Amino acid sequence: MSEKSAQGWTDGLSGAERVEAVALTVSEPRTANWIATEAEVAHETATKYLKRLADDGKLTADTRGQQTTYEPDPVGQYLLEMRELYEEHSPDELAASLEAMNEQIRTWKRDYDTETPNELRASLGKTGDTTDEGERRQAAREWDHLRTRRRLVEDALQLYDRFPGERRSASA
Amino acid sequence: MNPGVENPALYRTLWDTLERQAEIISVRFEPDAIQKRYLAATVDPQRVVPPTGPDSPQLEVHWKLTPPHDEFRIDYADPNLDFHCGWHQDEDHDELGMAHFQYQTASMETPHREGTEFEAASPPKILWECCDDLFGTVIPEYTAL
Repeated sequence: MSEKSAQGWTDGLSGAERVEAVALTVSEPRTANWIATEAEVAHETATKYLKRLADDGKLTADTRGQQTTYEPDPVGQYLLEMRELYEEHSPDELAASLEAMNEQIRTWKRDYDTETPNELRASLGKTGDTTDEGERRQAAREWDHLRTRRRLVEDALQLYDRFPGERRSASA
Repeated sequence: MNPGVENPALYRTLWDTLERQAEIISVRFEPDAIQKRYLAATVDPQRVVPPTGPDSPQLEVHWKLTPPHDEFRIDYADPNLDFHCGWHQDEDHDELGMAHFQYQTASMETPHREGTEFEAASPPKILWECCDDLFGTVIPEYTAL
């Protein structure tokens, strides 16, 4: 066994970091027990950190009967991401990337002769070519992603209009 | 989170997982940190076992949260050896089960694919498991001279 395989996921990550890594990447609501098992921490430890993450607005908690479930808070995540875009990129960079995204979407529309990612998905299975199908599926996924990113970048750009001269990092 | 809502914490967490791999020199977003379409990592050719080079192998991670099962592709490519491998969980090759592993060496005309299952359930842990398998087993086994 190499030195490498002796190192596990838990090495060098604190319990709090593991709980956060697991809890912020679940795709559906999960119980503290589920998160504790996956993060390899005690139930009480998971509960303590999950409550803190919920207090910070990173997670939402939903209690039904005895059971509390946690999932990433979409608004909290959106605001964090928008702030990162705003602080780490100039308006010119954001605008250029926005244009690149629009151009990519125009290319998909033209290449696949469809208006939306779902229309592209609906075209699957008609060509009978598995490589082409894989590419179409991948394009539909990325298309969904870019539509979401585009809204985020537009919102980040609007922060410059709303708070002119407030940005702390290097200017454009 | 609602289907279709992106969770930016996902790639941020996967980025951290990649950065913790001893073989990986750097991680970046492609095509840029604004679009964040996927993650790409540069691997040190001298740190993998057996060492390769002179070019740096690349590891790419595409991930989409799609309950109940995420869709993802983790792909490694060593340009020096023309070696590729990857773990894919998507609708391609669903005859092999929910996820499959594939690899192709320079002498193979088409990739070999086989069904695979993960012990981990969450994205950062699954990625860690694949990296562990990649650097600990797959590269030593399939690229040794």
